[in-house]
Amino acid sequence: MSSVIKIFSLFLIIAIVSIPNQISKGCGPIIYEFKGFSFFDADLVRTGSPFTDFFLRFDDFYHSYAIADSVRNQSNLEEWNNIFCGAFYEKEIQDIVYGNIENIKAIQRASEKKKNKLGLRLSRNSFAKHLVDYKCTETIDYLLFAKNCEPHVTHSINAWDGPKRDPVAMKALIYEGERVFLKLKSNNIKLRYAYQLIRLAHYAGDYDMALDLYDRLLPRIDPVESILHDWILAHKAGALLRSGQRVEAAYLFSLVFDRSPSKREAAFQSFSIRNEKEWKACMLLCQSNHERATLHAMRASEDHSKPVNDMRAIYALDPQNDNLELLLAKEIKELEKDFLGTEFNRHRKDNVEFHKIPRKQATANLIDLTQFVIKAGKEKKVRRPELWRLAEGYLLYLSNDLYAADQVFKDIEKILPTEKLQEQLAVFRLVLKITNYQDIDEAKEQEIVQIIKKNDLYEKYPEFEKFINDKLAYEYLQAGHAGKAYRMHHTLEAIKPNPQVNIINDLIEIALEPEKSRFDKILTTNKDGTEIIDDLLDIKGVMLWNKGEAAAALETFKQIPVAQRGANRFNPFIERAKICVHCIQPDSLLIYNRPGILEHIFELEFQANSDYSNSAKYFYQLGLAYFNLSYFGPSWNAMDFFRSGNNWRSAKSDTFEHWYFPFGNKENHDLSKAKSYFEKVLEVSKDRERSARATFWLARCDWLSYVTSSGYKRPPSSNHLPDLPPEYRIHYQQLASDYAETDFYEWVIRECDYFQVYAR
Amino acid sequence: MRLSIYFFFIVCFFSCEKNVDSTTPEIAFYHWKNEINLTPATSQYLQDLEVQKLYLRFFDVDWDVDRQEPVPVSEINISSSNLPTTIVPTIFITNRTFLEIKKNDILPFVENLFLKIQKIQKNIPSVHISEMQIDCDWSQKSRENYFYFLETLKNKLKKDRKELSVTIRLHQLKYPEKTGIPPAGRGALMCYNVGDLQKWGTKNSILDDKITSTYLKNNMHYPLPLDIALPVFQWGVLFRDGEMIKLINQLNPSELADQKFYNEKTTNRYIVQQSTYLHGHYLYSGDQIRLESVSPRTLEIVSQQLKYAIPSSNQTLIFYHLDSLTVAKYPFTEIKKIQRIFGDVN
Repeated sequence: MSSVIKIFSLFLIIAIVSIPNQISKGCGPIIYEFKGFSFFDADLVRTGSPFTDFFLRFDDFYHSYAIADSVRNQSNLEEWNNIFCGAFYEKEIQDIVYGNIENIKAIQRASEKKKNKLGLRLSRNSFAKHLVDYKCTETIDYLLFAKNCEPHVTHSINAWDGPKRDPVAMKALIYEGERVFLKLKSNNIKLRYAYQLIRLAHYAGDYDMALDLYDRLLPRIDPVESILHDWILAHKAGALLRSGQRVEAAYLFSLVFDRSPSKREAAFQSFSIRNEKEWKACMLLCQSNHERATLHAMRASEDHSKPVNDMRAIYALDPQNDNLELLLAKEIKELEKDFLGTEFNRHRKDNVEFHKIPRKQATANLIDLTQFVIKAGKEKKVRRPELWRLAEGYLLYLSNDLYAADQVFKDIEKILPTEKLQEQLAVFRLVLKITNYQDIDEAKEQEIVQIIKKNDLYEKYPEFEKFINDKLAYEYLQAGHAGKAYRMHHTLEAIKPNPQVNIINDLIEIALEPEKSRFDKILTTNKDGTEIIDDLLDIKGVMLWNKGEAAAALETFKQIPVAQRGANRFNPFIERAKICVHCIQPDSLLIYNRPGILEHIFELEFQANSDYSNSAKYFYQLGLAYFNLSYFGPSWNAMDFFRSGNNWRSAKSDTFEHWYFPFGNKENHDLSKAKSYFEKVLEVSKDRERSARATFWLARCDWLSYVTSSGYKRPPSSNHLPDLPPEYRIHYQQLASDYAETDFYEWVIRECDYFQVYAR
Repeated sequence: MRLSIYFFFIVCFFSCEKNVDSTTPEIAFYHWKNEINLTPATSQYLQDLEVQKLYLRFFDVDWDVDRQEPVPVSEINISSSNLPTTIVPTIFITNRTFLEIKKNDILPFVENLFLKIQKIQKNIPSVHISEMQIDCDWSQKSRENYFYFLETLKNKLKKDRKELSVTIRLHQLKYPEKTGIPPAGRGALMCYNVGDLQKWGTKNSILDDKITSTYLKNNMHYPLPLDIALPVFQWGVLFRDGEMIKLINQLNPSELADQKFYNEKTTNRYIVQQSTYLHGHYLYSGDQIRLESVSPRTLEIVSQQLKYAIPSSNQTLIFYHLDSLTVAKYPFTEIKKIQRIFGDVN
């Protein structure tokens, strides 16, 4: 049983270290979003405060209009249901209030008849049935009136239509509504009419009328509890703003912000203070410290704000204010980006380049916030001083004062009253422990394995995986273990398209070590339990071969046991009339594996240099082989592991960025070796047919070298040939001028339409 | 004999008249605000400059993530009755619109856009409209969709006997083979926003004759006839913690004169000394502001570069953009001076 657990653990860890973390959700493009860590749990401050969604809108919660609409509609439906003592399903109310006008007309008709009759569908709606049964005329008439107002005040379903505002019709509705208002009995319905009328006047652009309606209608309504008071207030604020009464408008928007979740974002967007004078005047309008604190909270919530001074002001005015904890959470989240693991975050360069993180003045911000947090925790005037002490410890950790952070964590471990706070403390302590790891040895690796295997927090907080991997990768790199560092993030597959010598050599050294640590065993073992050493040697062989070190490459391939050297699946020595990368070659001809190709190449080189009478033949075969082994030949995969069909035209280099391969995809565009052999053919050949062929291959190499160069200019359309510069036409012209009498030339003329163009 | 003398003078008169018309560019302005309500002073300014054409931004188009379709935003509200005789409806479309939209949805998009413009046009029945302009800084990835959009729109406008024009950035002028030539009747070369706005070290992101000179060379043969758009605006570029975070439009040096709040470190570069409000933005102590405007001298140098780079007849010289501050800062004589530079060329 224990061995089963061991194997399972082993696979678990292998899976952890072998899953490439940088795989994006799609196949590209590469997205340069900020990438860092966060261990502060925003749920700690989600204590039922109505402001939570606004301040912790890390996901742009309210910025989506669709969501904002749905919040508003939901609040309205809840209120309708409350008016009727919660007697109905909200869906039933929704079908009537936000449904088709015909439904309301049907309800009206049914309520007017002595014998009530609703259609089958509406009769199943208990809200509709109630309106008919109890002849709720005021409500039905109001719903109809609201439907008539709707086209003038709401957005059309088609965004291109725009609001269908007709000021004349809107005024007519206002007069009609006011006439009805005066006869109403229900205060709830009166309030709703007042809302409709003030909104109509506001949107019709008659701001004086909107303010006048507010002043005249509201005193006629007995106090009722309703979300509509704030909705009406928002329209009054809008009318004031448009009338130039900016300060009064800002004050009213701050009240709406404070009181109305459904209008909070809209009020925040409309709240505008132009200068110090307006700010002071707005402060003077405030009736309480709570209202003043709200103004500071709104200012602190602006994008790119530096909220500590406003937090201090809120603390001085209203230390128990809900918004303080929310602003604290928001600011800690920002500071985490600047300071948490920035030394070893593997995306730190991109974060600096694309996001300018860490921010220039982040240290000053951190010090500022820490000082305030220490004060708030000490004075205990805030709602939960223990949360502020916990934040103090974490901020000290972010300041890299690890000792002081640890001391604070020790101080508070017995005073944290809730499990949630205790868990957050445990998370911070684990973060601290991981940060403290340096000079990683076998014992420390074992500890880390234990964290991965046994610590529940590791599983609960996915950030730990990234955090540990980045930290270990950094420490390994510092210790000169590029291979181990690489394996913390990537699979072996991901390095194959562009092998890096320091990584491969480090991994080979570890893999060949007879007494490996357990962690090293994991790093050098495949998912199926086999060791990766053969793969590593294969990669190293290909890497050396590409560097022109063919003998060293062959030596490396030969270190792989014969049975593991790979099946014979290449033959670069076959000549094809047309260049064809993906042509299928019959299995009977595929008689070489990688070392086999190299051995045959060495054999051909030996023969070319010793059997002078046939040198040209051997050089020709070598040229052919190196062409076929390049990016452009059917045996490309002997000298490369990955090829993209897109990576050739106008290439600035032969290495191409790729979402999965950390070092990109290096393509084997180099045809210099092939060319050098074909040039040798021209030097030694007495056979004019062979020389003609070699010249033609040289011309092909020139053409491909040009189109892969950065100087390549695309033809105007795919039907046109590229305009080949003179230096790339030499061999075409040579073939025409020097080998016109050969059979091969005749074949070229017949088969290659483009030849004539370039030979000119 | 007397008749032939008359005939000679008539011919001379018309030929001279034609010469003036074809060499001196017509002056026009962009209007880029949400509401157009020309003050008497602005109207007078336009009259003095004999401006007959206004490029009026009707609305912008952006990609709506919720709806997954392009939507119009910031539609213009026309309160003025004293508009110039000719209006060119101008639409700014974000590049991301063309990155996101599917090719199949371009036709309905054109249809919607066209109807929307017609609807706004109805509010200004007295003005003449013979051209429509699309402003979009397209990229390699959005090019195919954008060009297809233009092609479709152009065909639709052709039936209405209207011409389609597009804005062209300097890099698009310099590298037409890389960026492509938009399928439109003509282009408006935008000679502004040339520098890197995001970098604090940038001298002037609006217009810098050293930068424009790297894009312009004599007798550039762009495949579309080009009008010229020049900047007459100013702004403050606000940096916080080294990052550019906001543009403060039409900011004046006088507004940064109070040394209690602002310290001018070097010319046109300020550090906020004490947190305060400015144009509705709350600034924090330590924020940096780069004040940018276009001097008449720079305008003249760039105009000299342009007249040799884009020699053309029947050109329009469009100034971006029209508002009361422009009227105050770039008086009649300055604008006329620029016009004369282009007029001298042929």
